[in-house]
Amino acid sequence: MLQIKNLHANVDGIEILKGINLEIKAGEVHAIMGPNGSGKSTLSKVIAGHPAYEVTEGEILFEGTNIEDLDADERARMGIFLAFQYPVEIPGVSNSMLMRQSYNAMRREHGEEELDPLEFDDYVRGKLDLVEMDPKFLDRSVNDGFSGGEKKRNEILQMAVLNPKMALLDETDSGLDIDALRIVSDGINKIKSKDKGVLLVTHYQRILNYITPDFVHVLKGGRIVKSGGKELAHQLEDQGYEEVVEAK
Amino acid sequence: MSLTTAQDATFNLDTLNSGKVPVMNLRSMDAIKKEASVELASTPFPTTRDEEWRFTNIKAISRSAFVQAAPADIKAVTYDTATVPEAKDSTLVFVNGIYSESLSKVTNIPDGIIVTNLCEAVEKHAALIEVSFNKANNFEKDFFSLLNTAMFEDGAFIYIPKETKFERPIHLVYLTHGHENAASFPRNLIIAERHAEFTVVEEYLGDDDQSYLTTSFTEIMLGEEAHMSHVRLQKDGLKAYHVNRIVSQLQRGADLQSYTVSLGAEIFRNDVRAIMAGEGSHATLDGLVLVASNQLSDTHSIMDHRVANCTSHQLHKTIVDGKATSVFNGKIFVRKDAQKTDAFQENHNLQLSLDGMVYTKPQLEIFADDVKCSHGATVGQTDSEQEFYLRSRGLNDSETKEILTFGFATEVIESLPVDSIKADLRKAVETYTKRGLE
Ligand SMILES: Nc1ncnc2c1ncn2[C@@H]1O[C@H](COP(=O)(O)OP(=O)(O)O)[C@@H](O)[C@H]1O
Ligand SMILES: [Mg+2]
Repeated sequence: MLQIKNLHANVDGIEILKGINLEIKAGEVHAIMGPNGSGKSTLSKVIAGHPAYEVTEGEILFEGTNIEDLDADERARMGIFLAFQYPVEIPGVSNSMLMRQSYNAMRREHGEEELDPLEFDDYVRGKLDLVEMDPKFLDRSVNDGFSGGEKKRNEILQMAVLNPKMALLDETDSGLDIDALRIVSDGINKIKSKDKGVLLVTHYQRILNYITPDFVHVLKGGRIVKSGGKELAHQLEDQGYEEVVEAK
Repeated sequence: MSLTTAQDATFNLDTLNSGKVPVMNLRSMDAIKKEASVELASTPFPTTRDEEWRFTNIKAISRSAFVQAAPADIKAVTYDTATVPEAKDSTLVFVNGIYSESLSKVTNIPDGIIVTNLCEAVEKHAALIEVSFNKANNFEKDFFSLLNTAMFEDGAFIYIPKETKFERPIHLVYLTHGHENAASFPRNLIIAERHAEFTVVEEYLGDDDQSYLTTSFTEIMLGEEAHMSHVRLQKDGLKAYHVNRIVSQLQRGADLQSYTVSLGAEIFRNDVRAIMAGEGSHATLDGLVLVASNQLSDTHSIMDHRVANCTSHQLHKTIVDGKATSVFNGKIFVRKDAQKTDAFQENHNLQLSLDGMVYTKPQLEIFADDVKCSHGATVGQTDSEQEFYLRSRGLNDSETKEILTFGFATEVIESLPVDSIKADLRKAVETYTKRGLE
């Protein structure tokens, strides 16, 4: 589904990603772990098409198509979804307005009829339960005045609404208390399926107790320095990044 | 009632003749008009050499051959008072500055409340007018205030007695209609006694195809603990010139929530002033300005904190597209007795085009030592992180800019007190953003 080959990327002329190789097949969950500043968010933003990051070498293929020249919205409409580490606040734009416009953009892409506000309201209400969100969040401005946990749940709500093929979840677990972590993880588990890929970026191992990864990769200094199965996550938790990485 | 207009109704703004002013048949008022007219004759027309007009070139106004608007052929003008359903039975309509009884609808007004036009108020409530007319006016040597005072023929008069709440909004509609270069001078006087509570919507409308001049002036006097919600909608035609003044005078504990939304006119100049004359009073003067093509919109405001413990709030937002210009000059005066003042001012400008111009200047003059004043101004394009967020949700470039523009404007709209107007403005913003990005 997603193939990343020798990916190098710059921001402001500084190379952050230094040759990433990664393949995610449908149905697989890959965890990317790594210390702060290792390039985890950069990797997810580059895949999602953030214009500030420049790919200098290598390629990203999504379902066989090189997406290098596609804008973020085109990638999104192909089925790539990024749940932000720091969801952006958009005062004055209601959650339901944003999600309806996004969802309709997807539907147009697939030649489907757009939903009117009432039809969309029915549709989105069915998704609220997945993340145990109160309907009143629909009328609130996007992430405006939301707590950290509410913002993360809102990202997963959007994911549920848009139903992407490839989900990039950037530290969706950080800043969550135990209950919120359980809610968010349950939501992700319900949405994931055998025809979807998940890239789960995390700093801590604890979310992996809820969502079982098929592969774990350690990112450090813009490179994947180690890959393994889910046991690698436990090892990282017990021994720390330094030791695991040095041990080879 | 008789209304005598000067015979030679043509006037030249530069050399406006003294003496020939519309007569109101109330001695004190006519004396004020006459005096204004005399003073006007020696008051120079403002130019960009005047500090208050630096960025707003109004030569076009002085060059045009405006004539006092002729009373419109009422049969040719229509207005449905149900346009704002909340106010369908409390709407006064003025056409070319003159009250139109047939287009207005004012029914079931509770005892004591007065919602009428100035000409009628002069006849029926002369005593009230004697004590209050032109009393809040603190514009000195200001050409357009003098022009309005000298030339007005009519306007709205609202009086809310003490301890009275008027639930329905009062809608004042000003239409300009008929001929090229029509000039009208609506003059409004709004008085609320102690603990009164009410809402007024002023709305200015006109056609896009004719040039006209509106010089309006609204005086507001709020008694102790009176609460007023005020909306001013400027939806003039795109060839119109509109110069407006609002001055409000607040007694102890009075609360004014005023929102000005400006969409129309080629040149719009708005001077708003709130005088906090009684302790514990509060004024909100929020504004939303949407300009495109060659429009110019200029807001000069004064928050005048004269006594202690008053608060003020001003959120002024503008969206500038095309070659349009936006000017904001926000003065906050905190006089030496105005301790414990809490004043908030923010001006945010969203520039959708590279050709647009934005001038913003906060001006704080603080003479008390124990005060809290915050102010800030931003000028810029849509935020790139917000853009990426929306793009990553599948919205293309123009959808993204539209939704961000909409969001920017909504913050002001959501505060408005009348639902149908909110809905109407949301549509107006959508129309604006779509037009702006084509
Ligand atoms: N827009 C940017 N401008 C400059 N440096 C950046 C930018 N984005 C990321 N970086 C740098 O790239 C490195 C990786 O950052 P990031 O991908 O956010 O790491 P992580 O998500 O793993 O904590 C850091 O050193 C960070 O300072
Ligand atoms: Mg990160």
